Amino acid sequence: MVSQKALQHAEKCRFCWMCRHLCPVQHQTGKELNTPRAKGLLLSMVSKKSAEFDRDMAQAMYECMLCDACVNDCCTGYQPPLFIREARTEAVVNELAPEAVMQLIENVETSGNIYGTVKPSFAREGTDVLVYIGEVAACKVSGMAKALLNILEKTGIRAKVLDNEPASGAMLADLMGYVEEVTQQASACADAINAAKLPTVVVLDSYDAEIMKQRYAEWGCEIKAEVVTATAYVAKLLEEGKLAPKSKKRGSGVCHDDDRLARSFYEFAPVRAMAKAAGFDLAEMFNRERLAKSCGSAVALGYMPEITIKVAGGRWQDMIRTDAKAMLVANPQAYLCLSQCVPAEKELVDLFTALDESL
Amino acid sequence: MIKRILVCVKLVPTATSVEMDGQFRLKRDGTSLQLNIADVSALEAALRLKAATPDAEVVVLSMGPAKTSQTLQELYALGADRVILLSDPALAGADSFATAKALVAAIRCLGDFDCLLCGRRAIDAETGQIPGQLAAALGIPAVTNVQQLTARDNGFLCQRRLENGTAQLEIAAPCLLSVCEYTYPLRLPGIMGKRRARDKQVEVLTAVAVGLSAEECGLRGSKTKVIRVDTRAPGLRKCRYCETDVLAEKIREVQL
Amino acid sequence: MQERSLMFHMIRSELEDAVGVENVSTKKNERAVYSVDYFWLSRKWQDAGEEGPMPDIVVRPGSTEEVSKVLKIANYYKIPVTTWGGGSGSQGGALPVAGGILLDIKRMDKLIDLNVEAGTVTCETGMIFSTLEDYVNEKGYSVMHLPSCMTCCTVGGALAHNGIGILSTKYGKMDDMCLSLEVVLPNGDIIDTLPVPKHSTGPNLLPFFIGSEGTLGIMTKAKFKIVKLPEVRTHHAFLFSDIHVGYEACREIVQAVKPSIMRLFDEAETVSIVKKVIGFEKKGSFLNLTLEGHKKIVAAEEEIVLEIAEKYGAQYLGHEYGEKWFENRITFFYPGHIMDLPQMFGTLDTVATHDNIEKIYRAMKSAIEDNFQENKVRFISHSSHWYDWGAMNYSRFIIDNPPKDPEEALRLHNRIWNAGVRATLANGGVLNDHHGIGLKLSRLMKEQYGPAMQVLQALKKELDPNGIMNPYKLGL
Repeated sequence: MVSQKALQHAEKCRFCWMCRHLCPVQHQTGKELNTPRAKGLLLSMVSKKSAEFDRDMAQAMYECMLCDACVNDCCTGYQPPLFIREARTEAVVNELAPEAVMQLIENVETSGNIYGTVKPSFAREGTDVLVYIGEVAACKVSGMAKALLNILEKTGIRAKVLDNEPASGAMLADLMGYVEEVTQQASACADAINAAKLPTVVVLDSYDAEIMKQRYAEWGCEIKAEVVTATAYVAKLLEEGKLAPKSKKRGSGVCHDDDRLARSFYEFAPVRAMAKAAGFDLAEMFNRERLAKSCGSAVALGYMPEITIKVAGGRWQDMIRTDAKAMLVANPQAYLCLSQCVPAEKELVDLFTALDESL
Repeated sequence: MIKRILVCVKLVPTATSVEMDGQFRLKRDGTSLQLNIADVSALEAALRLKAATPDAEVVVLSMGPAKTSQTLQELYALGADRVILLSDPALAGADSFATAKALVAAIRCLGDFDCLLCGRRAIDAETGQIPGQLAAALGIPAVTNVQQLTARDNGFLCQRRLENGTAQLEIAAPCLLSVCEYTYPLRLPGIMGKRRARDKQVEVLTAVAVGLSAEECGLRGSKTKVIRVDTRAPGLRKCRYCETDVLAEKIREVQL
Repeated sequence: MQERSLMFHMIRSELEDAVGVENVSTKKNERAVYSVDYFWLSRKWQDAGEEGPMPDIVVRPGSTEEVSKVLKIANYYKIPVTTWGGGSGSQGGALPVAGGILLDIKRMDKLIDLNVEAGTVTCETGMIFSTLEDYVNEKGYSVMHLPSCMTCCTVGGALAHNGIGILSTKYGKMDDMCLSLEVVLPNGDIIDTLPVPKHSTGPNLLPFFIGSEGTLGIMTKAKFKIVKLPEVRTHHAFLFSDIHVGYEACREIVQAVKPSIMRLFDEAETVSIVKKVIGFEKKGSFLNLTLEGHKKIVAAEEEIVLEIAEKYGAQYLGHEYGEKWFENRITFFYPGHIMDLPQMFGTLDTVATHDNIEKIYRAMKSAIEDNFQENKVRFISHSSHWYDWGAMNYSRFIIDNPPKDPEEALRLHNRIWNAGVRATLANGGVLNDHHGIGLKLSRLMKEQYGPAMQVLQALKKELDPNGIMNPYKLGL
């Protein structure tokens, strides 16, 4: 079963209810099972042999966005995502993971991405920065990737994009936990990025940036270049006056802080700077920044579309209560999830495209 | 060619335990254990040697309470071929001398090996004495404070950490190498490794099984005894300098 | 119910028809998570590796109409129905001890109406309470119900136990905040209480349901009053020589002004929990007190409070500790900060008039400390909700090394509770102030009510003749 460390966290969370109001999946399904404490309780029961880790339990462990909202607001340091990830590892090891999850893992093994397709190439040569597009933007939200590259080009920055850009490991880590197979992907990705020998790597998808910046080093595959989120990089260009957006009124919008920018990087100002530069009047959702509610992840959308779309819908509800017109997003996964259920008379805006259009 | 690598590891109270008291200080209830930091590097170094040498096996040896076997079992998933726990209530309270003696007795039961890897010190008591004691008792050469290591014909090439630099040393097998912390980040277990490890059990050895008598074990077999543990309060040190001929008397005075 | 019987599957499919296939579950793991709530005994049971009380079938309705359908089915087949909100109750009130249907109401979490002019908010009762507070805060208002379980309890759970929040001394408890309810009766009928809570149009219906713990019906929608977030909120702390002086001073304060928070700690809690969480080091009886509202009024109230405190020889500790307490008000309840297994612990909260409250404190303290010395029991107490007529005691017992065997632990646990609660009853107190009765105190209801119990029993008999609603709770 899960490691002693994970079990220790589970045992502490099993009788604590304090974070359930933050769980986006719990909110949408209303299931007691979808609370961090229930998942901790189940693992504790397994360790005491009063419950069995079966397919149903494995399924429950996958009904989580790994958005870190529960960890973020807790004063103890116990981490539900830690034992939930490990439980996913157990599910895969014991061949109990849901079929849809196994399909995505197989896709990663055969094609390198969760979609099981040839990843569209954005390869280009450049000598200033390396841009890491990531599989979600490349396969599903190509407009965002193109817009980022356009923005850099308009600034005169010569950006390189790898041919056959390897996966960062972020997807696989959500599917099977932090295991050797993930570190092998990470290592190959770090090698490819290091081979480019550029001082900076601009990462479009904050999920990729998180694993590169916060996990690679501990796995012994450090990226030598400085890893920068695309939002922070573009915001810096704005701040330095290297981008001159035309003043254009676009109406009111709210920025969605994606899970990783919100809780791994605590990066909030750049998306707002981009939104202002693109001509939006900013409003704010009540649950924002560190407390921003998840709108789902691409990997979850892959293996449990129904729940993920409900979760995205929950985020739209937060936005609707603000009276703003547009939901502003700078993350391909958030864009993909939110685009599944855009409410009538509301607009989903990719901030990179919006900014590119104003240049 | 390397055939067998022994690794000695110890489970220590976890340093990153999140139990805190009201003053946000760590609580040490001793219930949560982790692999000693330097031992983690020793283990990873062993696994890398194994990876570079077909047919080599990694045997992990630990001494501690029976409950540690749950954590030790996780080492199979990383690629350890055998995991052995020397566990006996009689061994409780052993100082470094008695610990080394017990480990040596167990090591002798395990047969020949090419190298014995261990961490250079444990983060709980921090004596750093075990590596030297093991090598002396086994009568094998040792390099301590190793921070990089590769296999050579019939031996190893080691980079040894010094206070102000490093030294390159060659050592012949069989030998003992004590490894510095944070030199080899431990790999994560893989799916396949975990599948292989599912049915493997930690082998438990008792003191009698390795031929130790009661007099050699635990508190009774120890040369030192902890009288008390004090917290050093800054500013309370009453440092006095004295000649060596009055040292014994001064020590008696402060009841050390 | 026999899980594999033909009838079981007939009923299951009928329930699926009522609420949707995806909202009915008989999976063992899904049922198992309902076997533990915040009740110490349910935790101990789980910790010992024992199987806890499990429902046969989990049903998750999405609307009042669906609740009605489920109750009609349950009544026809005479299947027990236990309603579960957040599962954060400490009295075992939501434990499905009779098996049958577990009705998890968290899908019913819609905000129905937020009217800032009228000063009301209406929502479904499966909403997590802090979500409701967020919605109201968004507009600059508050329900002013801030219990420590706010992030985990549902609106329905708070109503079902007539819960209380830390600001109660100014704003009241659930039955002061709730204006009207929609209730599904056990027979499936959907009723509304009258549109306002105060009237002379017969006896009020609200008190029949608020605090009824799911035994008389299921509250599905609730309307609350809301108030503007206060202009100022100032925190103060004081130290009294002992709790006796503290009780006297606090009585005088609460009879003069309306603090929102007033928490008086006994000497034992001052040197344990208060010290642990906010780092207050002195001995005595600690009081933190908060005043809030319009600036001018608060300034006047502050003057009165300081005067009274001085009269009772209190040491004024300034704003720092009161602020620290407020910041850490929920920290007290996280793992590592609150009592946890293997400790045995319980909160014997009670409420009484001013002339009795200190007597109860002394009687309960000695009933527990004297009778359970061999178990090395500790007793701590604070009084955190005050009325012009009285106050409550939040008294707790803690045993660091209780019996390992769960059955033996259960017996000791119940003996302590009997002793503590009977000391209260003998001195003019009640079984519970704001956590409810649940399973924990159910057996003592007749002792509390005496012949008055027939009023509750008559209600139960008329509304729930088949006794399907949350059996074995509330002594009904």
